[in-house]
Amino acid sequence: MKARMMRLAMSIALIVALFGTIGVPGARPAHAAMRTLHIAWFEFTSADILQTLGNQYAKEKGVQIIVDRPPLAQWQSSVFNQFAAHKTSFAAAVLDSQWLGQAVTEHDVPELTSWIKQNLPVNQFDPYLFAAYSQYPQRLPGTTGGLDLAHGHFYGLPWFADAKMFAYRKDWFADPANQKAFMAKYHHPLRVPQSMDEIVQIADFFTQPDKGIYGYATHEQVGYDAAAETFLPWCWNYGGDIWNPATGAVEGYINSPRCVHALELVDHLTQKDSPPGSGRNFIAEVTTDMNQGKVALMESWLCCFAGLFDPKASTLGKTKAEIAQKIGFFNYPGETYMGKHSRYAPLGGQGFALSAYASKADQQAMLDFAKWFFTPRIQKEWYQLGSTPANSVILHSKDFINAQPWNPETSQVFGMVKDFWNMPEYAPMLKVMNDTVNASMTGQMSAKAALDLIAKKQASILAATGRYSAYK
Amino acid sequence: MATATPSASVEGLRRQRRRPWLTDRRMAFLFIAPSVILLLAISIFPLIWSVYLSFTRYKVTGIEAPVWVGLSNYHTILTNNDLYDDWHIFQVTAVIVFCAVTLEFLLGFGLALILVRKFPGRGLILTLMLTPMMLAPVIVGLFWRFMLDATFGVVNYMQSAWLHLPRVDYLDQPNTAIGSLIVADVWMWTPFMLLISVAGLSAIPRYLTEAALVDRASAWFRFRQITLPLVWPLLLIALIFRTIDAIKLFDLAFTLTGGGPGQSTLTVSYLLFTKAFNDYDTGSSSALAYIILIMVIALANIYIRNLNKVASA
Amino acid sequence: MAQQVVAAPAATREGSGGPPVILIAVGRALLAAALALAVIFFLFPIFWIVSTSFKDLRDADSPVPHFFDFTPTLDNYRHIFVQTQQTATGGTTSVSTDFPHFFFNSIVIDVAATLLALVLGTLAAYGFSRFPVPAKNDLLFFILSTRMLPPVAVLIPIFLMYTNLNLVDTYHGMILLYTTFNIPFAVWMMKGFIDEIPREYEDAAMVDGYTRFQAFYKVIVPQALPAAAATSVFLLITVWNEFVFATQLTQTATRTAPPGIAAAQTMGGIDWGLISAVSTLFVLPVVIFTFLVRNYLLRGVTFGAVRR
Repeated sequence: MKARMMRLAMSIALIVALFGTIGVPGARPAHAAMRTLHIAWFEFTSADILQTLGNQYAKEKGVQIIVDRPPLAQWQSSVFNQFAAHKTSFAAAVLDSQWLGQAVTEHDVPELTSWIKQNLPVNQFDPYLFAAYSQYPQRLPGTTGGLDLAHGHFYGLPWFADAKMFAYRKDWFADPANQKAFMAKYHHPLRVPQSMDEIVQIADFFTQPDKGIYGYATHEQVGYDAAAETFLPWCWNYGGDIWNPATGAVEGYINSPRCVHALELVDHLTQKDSPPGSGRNFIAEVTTDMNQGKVALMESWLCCFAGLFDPKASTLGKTKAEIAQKIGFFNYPGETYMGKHSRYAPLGGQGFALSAYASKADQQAMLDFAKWFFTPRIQKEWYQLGSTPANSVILHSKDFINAQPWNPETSQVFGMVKDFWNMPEYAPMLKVMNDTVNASMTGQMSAKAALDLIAKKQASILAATGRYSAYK
Repeated sequence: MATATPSASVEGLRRQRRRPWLTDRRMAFLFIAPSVILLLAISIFPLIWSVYLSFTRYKVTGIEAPVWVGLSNYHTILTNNDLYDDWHIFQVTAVIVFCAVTLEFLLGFGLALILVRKFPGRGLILTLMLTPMMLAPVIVGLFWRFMLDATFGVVNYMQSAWLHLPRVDYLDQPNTAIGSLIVADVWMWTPFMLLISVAGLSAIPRYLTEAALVDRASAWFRFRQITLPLVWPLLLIALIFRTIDAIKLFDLAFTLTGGGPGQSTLTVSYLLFTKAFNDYDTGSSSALAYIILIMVIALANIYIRNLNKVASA
Repeated sequence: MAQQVVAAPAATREGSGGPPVILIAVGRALLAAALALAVIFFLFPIFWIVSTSFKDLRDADSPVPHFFDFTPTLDNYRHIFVQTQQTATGGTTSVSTDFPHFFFNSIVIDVAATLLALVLGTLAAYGFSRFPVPAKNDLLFFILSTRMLPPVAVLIPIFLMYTNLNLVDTYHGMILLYTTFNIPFAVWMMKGFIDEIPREYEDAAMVDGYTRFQAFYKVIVPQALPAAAATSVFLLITVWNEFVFATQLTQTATRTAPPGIAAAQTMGGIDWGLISAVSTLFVLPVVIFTFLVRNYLLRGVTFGAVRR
């Protein structure tokens, strides 16, 4: 009896194996006779929203768009592995802004300058914002005027705009007892901060470890750019810069006194004013900190602020409206330091680029989809479903501002965004910066030691390329 | 199929003579060849290509052809002139592998000695104890991260609320982060050693232990002279595989610590992944792969020499 | 005194004049305590994962952990199959997820790879065990060494090779790959067991008129089944949870569960409830399989029987 059962099990298993080797027809609900095109992105809300739009496009135009969504940690390698093989399963990819240099110099994405000229309302976009997702060589900071379509080279379309902002507990701020105590201590009212120094004061004020409450939650993780993108805005707001784009020099820039001071402040925030265990923080963790009522301030990407308003996850209220009474938002207030005033928010978001390895027909079909995507009707759906468009006219429209609780701030932030470099060797450069900043945030090295180390390593990376005048 | 009755033996002999082509040699070849061919095609061929790449400066995503640089990649890594602190990474890996495998061996074998006796509920306990190794390492890493968190984790809650010990930020300090990796790995793979030990201990012929009991041998004597020698070959095979796998530790570190804080929990496999899929420094990552391979081969040789000695004894 | 002498044989174990009852009892209690501690250490995280699968995010993320005092919900398990998405008109629709598809792929690919590796590995193990193979030890070491390299090292060459041969995102491509991963372990484990099966059995069978191959099929295979069961558990686990190659070499058609589960870490929040639920569901087939073969696992091989 047992032997027969074993034999039955074996035969079933062998049949399964046979199916496996031949291939299983119908295992995947085939998007039947319709033409199917893939866009490579990664798993998060906006990509899911794009898939919803893709399904709608299938109904309207008869071409099925599928958004490939691997985990964030695999996004970069899944795209570049296929580029390396000169054969991509996707016809287009949504690329992170810093990938542009590598993608362009390795001939993975075709130029789109003329298509942009003819098909997009370029004047409706902030030129710096547009260029960040599209232009290589990178548009130099301080460049004035519109998009340089005559002389520049553009490879991407501004698909999804993102930036960092602050969320704060406005109910704690409004509490009269807090107001009184804060005024007594700092001699100015507890309010939406008007400077970065004020943010530090507020974070210090609210930190009471014995009550399990802290002032600040921010990204610190060693993964990808979490820690780096926390350090960068602070460095920029204190007037610092991380390199000289003209010469490629980093020494004296990323470890300048301004940047050192900024990182020292960040270290203070992460070591003294953040809940323990913050060293592994990224978006999900800081959202949890806020949802569980642990922190007064949260610094994070606005793409995912919807996570703050989920009654199933939040202890702040049983409905969205209840939660909205307790959470407010503000943009980076800027700072005047050592005689210079600066105000920046870090740029996030991604741009849409074609795969150079897709067929011309597929590329054209993708451009048709992009054109459909940029029509005002679809852009409206894009933000109503929860994503963020890059079009300034839309960003300042009443409908957009009323769509989400944080959109009033969103419509202002894209005038002050700044991105870091996007040269082909960005990946090792970023890893050095990110991991070393994390080491400083978690208390393993001082801010000065960390930034000196970054300068040294980044200099060696850039020198090895032979392309920068600072090292010749 | 013919049954082995005496009247069939002549028939069987005739059958043997009618099928001379399946000689022993042919059979050996046919049995072994498929495995070896598959291994050659999928494991070895890529290996050879990456050996070549290890002597070049090359980016697989780039448009430039590989440039021969001889032993330069190896030199950079072995003299610690790399972007990464290679010596420190090798050290950390060695610590993790040694501590984890030793603990897994002691715990696994120790538990097996207890679980090899029959008692009510033993089957259930044994099956349950095997579940940790059935989970995917990425999931194990994620959940240990969840449990060890200093603010939200259940481990810190238990130690502070029940044991009145201070909370420890396990994942944000290098030493405790390394310890966390070891604990998570031990949690995951002790069941492996446990299972192999139980299988090996169960297979010891009862008559040997019974004979020793009749001779009034002490428990220690029985253990040392009968149990251990008989189960040692199997344990050694398990140790070889476990050590090799521990050196390849990546998924767990990826989700538990991400290599952090800083780069203090980067293992050699994680560094390999970073060089290959973050920096796309194909030449250097290939060189690192071969350095790792040579070390592992050396280590495995030691184990196997011991195995052959024991087997021939 | 006299009482003790009389009582001694009954009060000690095995009549060998060993330690007194009290020490045995204390020893047993210590062993029981050690076992209990071990069981708690190994099973608590499992309990934690399973219980989290029944919590909603607020309870799961709570800094004061809820061991039993929470309202359980089946939402997470529901979300494995169906999730709600917003529509452009402001409503919501139910969208079926890809998890069932990932699970299906995992089952097909992993079972096939395990079986294939077991069969090929056992054949090779028998060959190495019974026949004089030239450079046997070197070949065996070569087979072992293919497992020594971190898979990441060969990922790029294999990826490029697969892309050129159109094997990416195919069932047969993944099955071949996973089979190759599993062969070394299968060969070494099965050879270890087959070595212990006395040759006298096969010799006896061949004297009775069987061919070598029949002897293998009728004598060795049944005896090696317990070892095969134990080995297959490990083989299955190895590929069931494989992540790195699955992520890079599959896309949508053949994506298996581990990359699918990792993708459940969205940016808005790690949905611990969903991940726990998926992980619990995903580990079940392996647990069930192990449970089915548990008798084989414990039985081991009866070597030494002939010497009896």
